[in-house]
Amino acid sequence: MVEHIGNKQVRSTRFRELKRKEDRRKKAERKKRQAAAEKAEKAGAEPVPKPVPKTIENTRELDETIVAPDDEEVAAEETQDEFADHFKRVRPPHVLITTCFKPSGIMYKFIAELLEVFPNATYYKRQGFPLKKIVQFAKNRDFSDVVVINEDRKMINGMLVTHLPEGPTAQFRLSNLKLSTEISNHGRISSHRPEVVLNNFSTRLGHRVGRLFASLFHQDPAFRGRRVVTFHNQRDFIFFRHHRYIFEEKADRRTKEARVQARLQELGPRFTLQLESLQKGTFDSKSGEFEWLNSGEQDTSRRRFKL
Amino acid sequence: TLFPMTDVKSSPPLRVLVSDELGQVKVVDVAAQYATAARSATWGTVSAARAITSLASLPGEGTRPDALLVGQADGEVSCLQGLNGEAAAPLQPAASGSGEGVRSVHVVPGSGEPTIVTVSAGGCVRGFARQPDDGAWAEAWRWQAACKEVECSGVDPTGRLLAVGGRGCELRLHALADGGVAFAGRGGKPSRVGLVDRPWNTALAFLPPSPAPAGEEEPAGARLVVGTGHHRVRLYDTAAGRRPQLDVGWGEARITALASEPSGTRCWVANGQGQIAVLELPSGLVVGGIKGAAGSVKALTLHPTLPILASAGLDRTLRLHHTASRKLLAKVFLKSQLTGAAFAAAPPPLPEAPTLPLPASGGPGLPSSAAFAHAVQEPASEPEEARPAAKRPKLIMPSIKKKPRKGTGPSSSASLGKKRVVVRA
Repeated sequence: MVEHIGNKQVRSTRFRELKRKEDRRKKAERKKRQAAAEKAEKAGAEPVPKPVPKTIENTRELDETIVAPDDEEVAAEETQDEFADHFKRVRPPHVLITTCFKPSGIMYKFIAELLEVFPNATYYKRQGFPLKKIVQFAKNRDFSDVVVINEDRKMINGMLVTHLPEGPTAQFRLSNLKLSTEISNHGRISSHRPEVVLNNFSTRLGHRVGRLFASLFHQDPAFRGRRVVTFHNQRDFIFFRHHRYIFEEKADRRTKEARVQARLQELGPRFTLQLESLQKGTFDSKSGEFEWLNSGEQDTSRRRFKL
Repeated sequence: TLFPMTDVKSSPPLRVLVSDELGQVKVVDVAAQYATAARSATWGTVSAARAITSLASLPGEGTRPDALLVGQADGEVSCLQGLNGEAAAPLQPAASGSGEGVRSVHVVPGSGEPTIVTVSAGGCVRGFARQPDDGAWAEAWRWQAACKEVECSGVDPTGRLLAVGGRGCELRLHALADGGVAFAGRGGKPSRVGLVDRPWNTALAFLPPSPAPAGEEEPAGARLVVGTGHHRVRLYDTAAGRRPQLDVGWGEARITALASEPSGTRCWVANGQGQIAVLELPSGLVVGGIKGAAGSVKALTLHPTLPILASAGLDRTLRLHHTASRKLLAKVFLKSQLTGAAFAAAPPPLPEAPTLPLPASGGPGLPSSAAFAHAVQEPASEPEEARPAAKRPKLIMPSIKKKPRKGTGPSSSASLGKKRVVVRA
């Protein structure tokens, strides 16, 4: 509108005028709309439905990699993939947690919390072993997964999850970590096996990553413990949350009817993960084969997501 | 730029057969001029144990139709009909008996019927010849290769040598007939620091035979390109020496696929991180690359006649690229991890819709036959007296649409003060 004006002062003045005009027009329109809606409601007519704002999530470009709920081929593949034994309850999870070389104090606090989050987890010191050797040791001792937490200058910034014996290896960037001691009104973690909630893992790659997370927890949770671990994927960011829930009957504020609602209390740590790579096989970043790497994608847009 | 003779607009329909890690072969049909590309059929049932490790097309001959040879991870080699994927003449015995998976299947053209050569992961090489009476393929010979952990193999253009590469043993070229080592390659020279890579050859491709030297019938030696697990690409020439004639590093991951162009001067390379590039031989310089693959590229296949490269891999997508311009021609998502790709004869085009028979005298509601006759008549039979004398043929100029520059032109000045509204579908 004002791009053709070269003079910065004239241009900025003109822009301010136009913006003020536009704001006044919108305000007037909004007032008119609200008055009409109130009038209609008073008259007893149906209230006009509120227009839903467009967000990046609800204008997501659906691409061909999204798995349909009734896809038989994907379902058949998932009965035979690396995680099939876990989902058939043949192989219970046993997670080995270790760190990068020379971790600092915050790492031990985080690992202490992780050992409470995972129902069957063991911590081993890194002791300078290369990762390929650690994977071999874990296989020898019948672990089902290896989780390695990375730290840089006293900030925890990465997580690597390898499923054993030949399962995929996922590398994540870890950010926005908040330990339970930093969360106000946090609860105490019990030893009940938690339920796992995986939200919005819709594409084929998302299915793989979702199953990788699910394989860290038991398939039969203790519902009595009312403990839930959530991996919520939104715009390719995976949010980890850990809550205790309770169902209560409460009177709804507007309709004044009694309704069963869930109330949450946050427990363990809270962090955000971003998938960096998914490698087929156990850890071998130099000569392994990657299923997905965030480097080559050309045909992509702001409204297209990978998970 | 459009390349003459390789114009996309004149491309015929294509068919690509893609194998995956679930034992299935997926048929992808690409329409003429790349209008559409989609999976049209899936052959086989889902079974991770029968993951397909190699594909080879067996061209038809005489009464024998086109077939597809499939090598599986459980050690069996099956022959499928090229048109519908049903079982064709079997190979007997299908499995080598050692329990190892099949690493590759090759078709060696011969004077009469071709020979099928299969290489197992443990180095057992078997040759199959067609039985004249029942048409099945029976094992004619078998021998053990020098390499015990085979990762790649190939047959040279003359059909006499089998190259085998893998872990623990450098490149060996065996004579197909008896398995004797015809050429034992050596690895690359030590680096400046004195380090030597362990032998680990992960991909190989023979180059077309170089022209024979004056006065001799056959070329001096075989030339092949070998990729290693330590991201090195090597060119071996059996006539020049045991050491590679070229040893360059490319990328940072293991080389997973190689495909040499018929000219013999370029070679396509792909690695475990989804990078694809074309190297010029024998200099080893990277001439260009292809972006887009997000996962390891397991198979690179060049079309026998057209300049098309098919790439398939662990990102579950088949991509077709033009070899000269490196443009993406078609991309199809195929849901499972892909291991091989082969071009097949495109299906015959659908028969044209038959023209309606003209009504004899026209019933109620039908146009009169005279009007119909006029409509279906060829335009050349129009009254020629009305046409003037022979005109010059009309020149057809290619339409070049110019994009309007931002801020200039009549259209943009007219919209000053108006905001452009983008309507989302």
